[in-house]
Amino acid sequence: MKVRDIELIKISDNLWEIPKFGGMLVPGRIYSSQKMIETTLQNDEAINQVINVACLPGIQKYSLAMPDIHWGYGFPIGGVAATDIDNGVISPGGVGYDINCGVRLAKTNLIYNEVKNKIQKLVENLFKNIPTGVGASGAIKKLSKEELKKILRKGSNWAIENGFGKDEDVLLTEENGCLKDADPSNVSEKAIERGLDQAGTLGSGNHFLEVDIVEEIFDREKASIFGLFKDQIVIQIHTGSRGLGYQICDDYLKTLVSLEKKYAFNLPDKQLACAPIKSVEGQDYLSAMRCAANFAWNNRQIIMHLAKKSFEDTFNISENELGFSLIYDVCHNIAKVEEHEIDGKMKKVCVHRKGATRAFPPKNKFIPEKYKTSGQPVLIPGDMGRYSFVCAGTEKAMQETFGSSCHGAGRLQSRHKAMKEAKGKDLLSELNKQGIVIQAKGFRTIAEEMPQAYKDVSEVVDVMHNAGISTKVAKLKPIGVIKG
Amino acid sequence: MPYKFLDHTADVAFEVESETLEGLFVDSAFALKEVACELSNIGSKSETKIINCNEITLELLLVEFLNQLNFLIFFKKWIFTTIQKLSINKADGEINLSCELIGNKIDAEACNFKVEIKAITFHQMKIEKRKGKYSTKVVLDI
Repeated sequence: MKVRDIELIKISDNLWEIPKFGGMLVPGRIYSSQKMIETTLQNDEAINQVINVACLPGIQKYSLAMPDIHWGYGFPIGGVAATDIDNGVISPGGVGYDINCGVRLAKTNLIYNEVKNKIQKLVENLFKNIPTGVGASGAIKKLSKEELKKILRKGSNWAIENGFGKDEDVLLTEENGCLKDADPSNVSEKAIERGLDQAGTLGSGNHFLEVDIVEEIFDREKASIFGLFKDQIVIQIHTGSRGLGYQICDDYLKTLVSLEKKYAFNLPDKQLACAPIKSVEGQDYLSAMRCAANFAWNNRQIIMHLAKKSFEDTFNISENELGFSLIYDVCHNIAKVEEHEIDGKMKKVCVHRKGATRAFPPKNKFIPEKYKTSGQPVLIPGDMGRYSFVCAGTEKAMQETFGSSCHGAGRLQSRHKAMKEAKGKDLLSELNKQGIVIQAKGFRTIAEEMPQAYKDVSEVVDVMHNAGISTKVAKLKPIGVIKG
Repeated sequence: MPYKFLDHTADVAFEVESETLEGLFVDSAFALKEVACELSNIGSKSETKIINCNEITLELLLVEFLNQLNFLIFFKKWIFTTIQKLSINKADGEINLSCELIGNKIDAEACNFKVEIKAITFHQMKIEKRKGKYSTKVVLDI
């Protein structure tokens, strides 16, 4: 099949390969169905970005794309690339501006019938307690610079030490909510300033907090291990490192763009600017990126605590009755040093996941004890009108995708087109009729984020399920949403 | 309009064309503001801010200039209405931009933010002079 004059070789129903040509050091591989390639890949630049990423020095095996692939900058969204730790590069464009943007899923003991008459009140309380929108601030008291630097070093542990959660929460967070070797001295004053009053804020755009019902269980055993049952009320939090992360990415991209000549790189796109992993510049970026990742985990931890308080206030029940607890927290914009099997040998690589979720299998030593028989939970949010999925990581993901899966639905329409289509429609009432209560800062966010603007996430999840990369465990249906 | 918005699935992109390099930077700044907020009036009280950037390429200079404006808009809630005395000069292997912004700090609720711009990217950016006109594409991460 040809896409934008590029020949794609069919490997299987859900996997397509771009053979090596030009400056590509490895082939490209795209997980997708024929239908999705025909409908979504023909019209954007994403496929060229898969090819460009294949030119990164030290890239191993393949330049990979998950089925939610779409046009990003430098890397495509949904892109995964692993680079050799000794001879490869680290690229901030392979992580993105919103460092450690990710998803957190928490459960309650409540079932739908117990909450259905109070959804409006619950959404109002969530909206009141969790700052949303552009430049949202003030969820907790403004921090001193020294206190913020503690967050950058400690991640979620800072929130726990300050009363925003329980000790076990960190055990159920990817990397225990804290990447080591995060040195705040590598973070600019401007980035620090931007983070001072943004801890515990949701932000805007596609970030959200959603109250969901567990609508369908696909795998009873794994659902039980995750603590999920039908009709249960759960919440999802989707946000990242806010202005602090954007500033860190921006600061280092600028430095790295200037290095192209120093390291004699010949990159097809400036946004792929990179540095050798072991260089001073590479190590400094990795250290600053880890600070932003820690800020993001702490951010989602605080938001979860504020959400729990909102539940307790709304339903006037004790913590025990509510049974609010974290299932898992995953990041989908990150670069991490991991060991993977390459050409039959275990090798240390830097795995860039930009719009891709880690999907480690059962028995893996980096996943919580609780999930050793199921594989890690892989959280894949959809749009605010349809559904989201909880899946589980597999051994096949380790073999084929450096332990990675998709991260969401992926946009189908530009924001401009979505706004145009939304004109004259009462989207709030339409969603209300479907049993979904929404509170947002304005009409624009709801219009730009309307369900029609996104691909059907079930098609994306099915590709990963059928390819054996991450398998379906449960489907969640939204009943309450707050957005920026 | 000196700039044109392009259809981009995930983010926002625009194309700018101007007879002068300085004009290209000013027009890019107003395109950025149009993406960020709907505010056109900053009230009777206004203040002036000086912007200064030094970079080694025009693309780095444009990204830095727009990022400084983006920081003022979203973090400082300081919105410009006029850009004046913008000059671009090359010296000692560096390119310097300086200009004056006239604007004001606006209450967050009154800013009418449309969408948060995370950053200005280098993706597809190439400042070129063709047939007597300067042009470039700018992709914003939303």
